Amino acid sequence: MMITIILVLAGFLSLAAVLFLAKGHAEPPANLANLRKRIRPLDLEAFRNLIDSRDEDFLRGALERSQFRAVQRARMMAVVEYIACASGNAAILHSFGEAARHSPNPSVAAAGQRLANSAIRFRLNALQCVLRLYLAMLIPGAGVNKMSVAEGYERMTALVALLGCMQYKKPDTQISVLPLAS
Amino acid sequence: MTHFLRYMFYCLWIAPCALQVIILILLARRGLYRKFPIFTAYTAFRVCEFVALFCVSRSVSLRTVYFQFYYLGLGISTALRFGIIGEIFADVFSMHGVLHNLKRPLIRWTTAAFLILAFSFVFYTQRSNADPSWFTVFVLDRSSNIVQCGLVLSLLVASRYLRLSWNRVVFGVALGFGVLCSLELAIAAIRSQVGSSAHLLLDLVDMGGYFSSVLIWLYYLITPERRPPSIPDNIPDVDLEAWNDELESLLTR
Repeated sequence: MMITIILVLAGFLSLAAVLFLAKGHAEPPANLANLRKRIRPLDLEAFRNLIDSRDEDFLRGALERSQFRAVQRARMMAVVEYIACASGNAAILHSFGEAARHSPNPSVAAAGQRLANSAIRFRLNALQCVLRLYLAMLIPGAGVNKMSVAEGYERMTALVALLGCMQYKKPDTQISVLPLAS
Repeated sequence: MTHFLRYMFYCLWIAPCALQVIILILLARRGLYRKFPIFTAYTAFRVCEFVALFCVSRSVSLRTVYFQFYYLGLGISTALRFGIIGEIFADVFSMHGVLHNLKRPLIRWTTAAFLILAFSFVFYTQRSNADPSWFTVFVLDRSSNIVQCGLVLSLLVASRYLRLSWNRVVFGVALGFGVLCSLELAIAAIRSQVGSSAHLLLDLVDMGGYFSSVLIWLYYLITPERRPPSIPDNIPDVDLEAWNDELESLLTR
């Protein structure tokens, strides 16, 4: 009887989940001008410092093991926050790509397709990185494929560059703009 | 069966079939049967199944074989539903070439995970007082619904996370199946436990769920594709692709 109750509840939860997930799809397309305002600027230098393995080595040597673990955990949480923010930005860029993909101009459509695909790939890679970071937090010094925390950080370096590309508001690092109106 | 319930029963039995005939016509007129052959076959099969079951139920001499027809239809439609889910996956992933490598693992691992879950539920299910054939059929139906729900939900979750765009018709088919599988999971779970008692009420809920799904399919077939948002004057020129290549090479190193 317990199994039946569980499955009936699972059925209704699944129904609610389907309707909830479908709701997002059924909503009208977001206004891209408003979306652009939601791109969050990211402090690239701060992120670079955060994932610098030399900083980690210094902390490892300067702090007691328990203290180091606590600090390292906090640093990893901050890295996860950065990646989540970048992932959100990628989602917004994906909307731009999707809109451009429907352009009658083939070159604009192709650029839109490329941007949308890149954003999807970024979100996939970001998900993997975040999962590995959480794993490294749960099992210190370990991870998928016995990846060390330092290696995990090293792999994050590609994200740093990507974050730089996605920076939006700082004039010195502002990304260029591809005209589409031609 | 009261007069009202009998009326409801026949309405909910006949109406989906009538609507599915319209769906078949729309699929044929818009040439969508080429793109969604299994969904078309499923729709046609359900219409034929209705005609066969209706005739059998009205014939006094054939009434004894009604459930054999019903079980056969359930088996065929379950197989076709898995085909439709494959068709949905194929369409969604074909629109995003970058996800080509994700399709097979997502289907394989989700199916494996939900099969294990379904079989573990079978293992722990106590045999009820229900008719043994009822029990077996509905436990199997319940298991297939668990896997189907899992597949549809995993696709919707992945699509939501990755912001994948869908063909409107495919989205409607997936939504209809999501609703149908979820309701049928709950109903099959109850049926495997109570057997033929509360039969009519469960039939009505089941047929109501199916009717809702058919309405969803029809709605998404009739309504036009949504206009994409106007193209912005400029889009950020982000060289995501090159950096993604770098990131992937680092991740697989």
